[in-house]
Order: sequence, then C-alpha cells, then structure tokens
Amino acid sequence: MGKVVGREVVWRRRVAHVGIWLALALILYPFANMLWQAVTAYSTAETTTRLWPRFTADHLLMVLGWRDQVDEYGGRMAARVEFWLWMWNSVKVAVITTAIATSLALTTAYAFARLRFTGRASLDNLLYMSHFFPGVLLAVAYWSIFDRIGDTFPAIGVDTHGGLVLALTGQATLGMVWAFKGYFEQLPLEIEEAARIDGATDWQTFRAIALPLARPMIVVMVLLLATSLMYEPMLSAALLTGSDTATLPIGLGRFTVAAGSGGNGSSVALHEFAAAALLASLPGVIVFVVTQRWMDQSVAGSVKG
Amino acid sequence: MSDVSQAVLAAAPDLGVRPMYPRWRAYAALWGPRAIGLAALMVGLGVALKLYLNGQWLFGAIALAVVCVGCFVYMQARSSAWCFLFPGLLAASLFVLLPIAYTASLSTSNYSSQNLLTFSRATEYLLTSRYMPEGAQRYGFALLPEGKRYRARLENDAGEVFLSDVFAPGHTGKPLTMKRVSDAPLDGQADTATLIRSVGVLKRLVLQLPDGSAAQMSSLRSFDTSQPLYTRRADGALINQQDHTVLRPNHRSGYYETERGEKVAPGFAVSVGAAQFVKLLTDEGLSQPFLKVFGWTLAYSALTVLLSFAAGLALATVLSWQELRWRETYKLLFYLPSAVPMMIAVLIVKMMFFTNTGEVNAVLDTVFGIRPEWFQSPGLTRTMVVIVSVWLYFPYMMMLCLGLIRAIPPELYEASALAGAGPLTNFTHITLPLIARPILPVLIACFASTFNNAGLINYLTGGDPSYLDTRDPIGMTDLLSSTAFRMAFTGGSNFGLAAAISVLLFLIVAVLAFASLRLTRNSGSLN
Repeated sequence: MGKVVGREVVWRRRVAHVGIWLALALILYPFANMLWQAVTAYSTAETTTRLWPRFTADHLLMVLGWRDQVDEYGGRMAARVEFWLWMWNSVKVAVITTAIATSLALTTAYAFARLRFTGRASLDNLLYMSHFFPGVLLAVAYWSIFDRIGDTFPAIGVDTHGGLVLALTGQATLGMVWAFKGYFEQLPLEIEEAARIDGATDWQTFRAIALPLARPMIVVMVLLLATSLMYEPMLSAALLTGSDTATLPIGLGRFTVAAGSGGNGSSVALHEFAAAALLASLPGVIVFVVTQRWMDQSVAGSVKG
Repeated sequence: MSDVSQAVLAAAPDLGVRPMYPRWRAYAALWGPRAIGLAALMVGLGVALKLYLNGQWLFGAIALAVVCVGCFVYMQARSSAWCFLFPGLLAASLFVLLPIAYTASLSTSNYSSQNLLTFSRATEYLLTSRYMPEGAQRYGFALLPEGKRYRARLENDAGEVFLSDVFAPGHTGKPLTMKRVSDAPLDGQADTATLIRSVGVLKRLVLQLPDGSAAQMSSLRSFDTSQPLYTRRADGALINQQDHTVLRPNHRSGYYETERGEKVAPGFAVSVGAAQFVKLLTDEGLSQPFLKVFGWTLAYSALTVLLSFAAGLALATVLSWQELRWRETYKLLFYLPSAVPMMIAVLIVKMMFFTNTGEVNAVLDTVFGIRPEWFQSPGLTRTMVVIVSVWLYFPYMMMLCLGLIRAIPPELYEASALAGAGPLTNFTHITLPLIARPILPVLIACFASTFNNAGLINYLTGGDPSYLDTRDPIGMTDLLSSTAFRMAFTGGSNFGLAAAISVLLFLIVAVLAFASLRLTRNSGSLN
C-alpha cells in the first residue's frame, strides 16, 4: 500500500489483532484441547517426564469398539460406551423426524410465502411467535400423552423412538415451515407468474416450478435439521429412559456422569470422553462444512436464476 | 382434488419446465393423491376406532376430528390454499397446540407418581387385587403339553396332585374341572418362557377343585384359592371382603378412602383447581426456593444476553474495520465452533472445569496457585454457568452484529471521517444507534431462549448444588424450565407441579414473543 498510515492507526491495528487472537484462543481452545486429548496417550509417571506426549489412536478405537474396552495397562474404560448403538438410534430418530417434518412443512411454507387466504396475517404472526417456544416446556405433556396412548399403541409409548419422533416433529415442522417460507419468498416471482398466466394451478406452480428451484436449499435445510435433531438433548432425555434406546446426547451425558460427576473426573475418563465427543460430533461437523459450501453455491445460483 | 389432476393433464405440457409428461405420470398424478388420501383416511379412522375401543375416548375423538377436518379441507376444491396449509397446521396443532392445552389441564390436576392412573384404571386395579381367606390353599402349578393342547397340574403342600382336562392354548370361559390323581410325571412340562408367553391366558384360567374351591393364578408357578379383595357396591363404594371396611372414592384427594380417612393406594389423577399454583407461591418449603430460582433465571438470562452482545458487538466492530488484514480468515475461525453441536460443546467445557483434572484449574493453579471447586459452591457454579453460556452465545452475536454493521451505508463513515471523528465517536454515534432498532427483537428472542435453556443446565451442572431447605429437587443453578424438567423426570414424578411451572413459562414466553413481534413489525427491518 502506498498510503501513508499514521502511527496511531498502526498501534490500533496491532491492538485489534491481539484482541482478536485472544478472543479466538478463548473460543477455539476447548475444541483444540478435545482434539489433543483424543489422540494422546494417558499421562503416566514415565511419560510425564517427557516433553512431547505419545500419540495414539487407542481412545478412538476403544470408543468405536474396535479394540477391547480394556486398555494396555489393564484398566477398563471409565464407563460403558456403546457408540454405534447411540449413533444408530440418533440417526434413526433424526432421519424419520426430518422426513416427516419436511413433507409436512413444504406445502405449508409455500402457502405462507405465495398464496392468499383469510387469516394469513394472524397465522403469520403466530408462526413467528412459535419460534420463541422451547420444546422442553412440553416434555411433561408429551410424556403423559405417550404414557397413556402407549397402552393402545405400544410403538409410540414412553421410552420408544416412535414417541420421541412424534414429540420432535411438532417443533421441527414449525422450524422448517419458517425456513422454507423465507426461501420461497426469495424465489423470483416472474417465473411463477408466467406459469400462472399459462393457466397453471397453485399445485402445478408449486410442484413444477417452486419445488425444483428450491431443491438445493431444501437439501441444505434437511441436512441441517437432521444433524441438529441427532443431538437433541432435552426431549430425548425426558422420553428415553432405557439403556438400549439412548441417543448420542443421552449416552454421552451418562458417560460424563459415570466418569466423574461433581467435578472429580479422572484423566483416563478425560481422554476417552474427548475421543467419544470427537467421534460423536463428526456427522454434525461434516454436514456443517458441506452445507456451508452448498449454501454459497445455491444462493449464488438463485440470484442468477 | 379432481380439479387439480385434470388441470395437470391439460396444462402440464404447456408449462415448458417439464416438456412432456409420460402417460404413467399422468395416471400417477390423477390417482396418486386419491390413493394417498384414501389410505390416510383409513389409517385415521382405524387409529380413532382403536383408541376409542381402548377407552381413551379423548384421544380417539381428537383423531376423529383430524380425519373430519382433513376430509372437509380436501373435498372442498375451492379452498386450495388450505389444502397446502393443512399438513403443517395439522402438525402444529397436534404436536404443539394440543400438548400446550394438555399441559394447562395437567397443571390443574394432582397428576404425579402417586396419582398416575385414571379413576377407572385405579378402580380396576383394586378390583383385581386378591387376598387369601382363612383355609385357602396354595398349589404348585405346572403346565403339561399334550400335542398342541395342555393339561394343568396342581400339587398342594400335602403332596396331593390334581390334573385338569386337556384344554386349547386359547381357552377362555368355563372353569376347568380338576381330578385327583395319584401322580402325574413332571417331565416334559412347559418351560418358563412358554409360561411367560401364555401368561395372559393362564391368568384367566379358573381351576375347579374337587372340594368345591376354585384356584386362580397367583404367580408364574403357583395357583391359589384366593378371593377378590374388593367387591363393588351399586353406589360405587368398594367393600373390603377381609375386614368389611367400606372404601369410597375421594375425588378431592385422588384416593379411595376408608371412613376414617385412610388412603388406599394407588391414587388416581383428579382436578385440584389452582392448588398447584397456590402451592408454588405460598408453600413454605417451595415458594422461597422457587422465587430464588426465578430471580436467578432472570439474572442469568440478562447477564448472558448483555455480556455476549457486548463481546459480540465489540468484536464485530473491530472485524468490520476496513483497514484490518485477514478479516475473512478471522471470521471463518470465529464461525468454526458453530459446527460442533451445542450439547457436545457444553460437555467438552464441563470436563475443562473439573476440579482436579480440568484445564481451567491447571491454569489457575500455575498462575494464582488456587484450585476452586467449580461444581461445589453456589457462587462459583453460577459464575461458571454464565461464563460457559456467554462463550456459547457470543460467536452468534458477533455474526449477527457483523451482518447489521455491513448494512450500514459506508457514506456515513466517510462523512464522519471527513469531520475528523475517531473510532469511538463512530461507534457511539453511528454504529450503535443504527444497530439498536433491528437488534432489539433479536435480543429478546435470545433472552427467551436463554431463559428456557434447560439443556445447558441439565448437561452442565444438573442444577446442582441443591437447596437444602426444600423437599423438592431444586438446585441453585436451576432455571425455571430445568426445575420443571427435574420435578417431572430426573428428581421425582410430580407432573402436576411441573405442568404448573410450564404454564407460567408459557405466559412469560408469550409476552416476550409478542414484544419481539411488535418491535419487528414496527421497525420493518427484518422480514
């Protein structure tokens, strides 16, 4: 830069950089620490004298169940980890809920974005207000409804994935209606108007024009919703009680409790927990990274279209 | 519906987006929706019928109502928009509005682990309980398969053996006559698994013994000649056959009670009016901790929102400074943690605060030589909760502020630069005033979400440390929502009280949502 910069500005810049680095360190350190713990060996008496720790994949393999859950020093894992079971349960609940919520939300969102009907303004306001509503407040109602309905339909009783799916569907659907509505509103109106002039009905305009145009965004939203549902902490804690129905958040939560509640953890548990947390968050991280790239592309695409 | 499908046949080729519909597609478009509609109708009616037959008339009626509304909406071709709206609105009303109403109704009942059953279920339970009268006999029971049918074998303590006629696996109805035999070999008797499988049939079996008494199943391998403990009188009172006391249902306490007022378990759920709310506000062991929890919830949410907003705004201001290098890289790095699910992030940080092994104490130990017990003392635990919460929220706040600052016209800053204003003046006179209006509804939304952030508390501290002066499980870091959660699930089963707290929270959330709605719609910056 050929610009003359004052001494004051140089100093301000330096201070700004240092401030940002500090904030970044604060934010990123816990995650860096998790990564580090997951791939380094336990510190024992002989290794503490060495400066550089020993790297190992033991914790990861143990969490995955590919190595016996007894380590090389004969110590058992701090708590039982059934990683694949939790992962499978989480994926199952998330995929089914997402499928139901998406199919229920698509047409509704289109109606909110494009169609006219009486009471639209008030319904729109209610939709906005529903976002403030945390699903955890309904846990009691869900529990007792499923407790009673479970007598008739055991598949959606308490401590079943069917019940959890139905409990999550309500909030998920409302969230998807809101997200899709925003996206349908952004679509260029001209194409849809042209179709209508050609005599297309609401359904045809939706099916043949709005839906294909919105497809990239729908995929992104579906992936994001599915991963967020995989880690839903509270309703699953309320509705799932058994050990074979546990999802990822419940399993990991029980692991930390078993590995040292009240703040007294052992260092063994720390490494193992880090490995479990790393592996458990992988689907979320992958989807996040992938969708960020798609999001940029699809937004750019829609602007061109 | 027919309107739509005919129009598909007629107009689809003209659309230009999908040039030609193959013939099968046209058929699918015509008959697909009808088939789906019919299937949904059948399933809906089936569910309603089954619920009704099982005595759950309320849920049955709701299912029937859904089917009726669905038929009405989709038969009426004119109300096209409502055909679109129906699925989402159905989900919202079934899975959100209905549970809200259900919570409200639970909050006026004494529904809890002691009063879990409905009145009819509790009565049924009492009527099926049995007692052993004087001289009643106990028999060891074995089931002897004979081809595809069975014989029942009873043996009393004196060694007398009785054998029944053969009966089919699905036998119900008439009592089976038992005959005295010298002995019947036990080998080949049905194993435990078979017994468990057919326990439903065996429970209904009545075995008529030669002395005139009738034996019924009392456990998997024994029958006895016990009698039903209660018989029902015409006025609904139950008579205890053993000591002839009279039990009357008390619809105020939710128990069957003797004349002296002794309660007989199990209780049933009854309406108690506003008693749960009154208890919450006046009960000695409850109102004090409840008010403290309320205060802490307010303080926690306000602190989290303000601190994370302040930190986020400060960083966003710095990051939108044009002359700073690597701004995009910094933004990316700040955005990175959002990839990790919040719940896992909470658990990771929790491990860092552990007293002996946590990184936080390792640092504090080296620098200041202290190892505070983050999970023991109330002040420290609350501090930790706020720190973790701000840590979680401020990247979001920063992203939000970055977006809003970018929307401010750069001419304003150019003008102020010409006037010789410094960065601080820019911040207080341009950035802050222009950001305040649009950010306010978002801050309210954030406040509402921290206010109900039971997930954070549940996974970080579990609400501990607990208040000692209360019977109910209430902790010093509990928010209102996590208190309700604990009362219902982790610390007890007081669903009525938890529902009452939830109803209070509904009202608070509704007020916040309404305030945010008014602010958004008035400023018109969002939407």
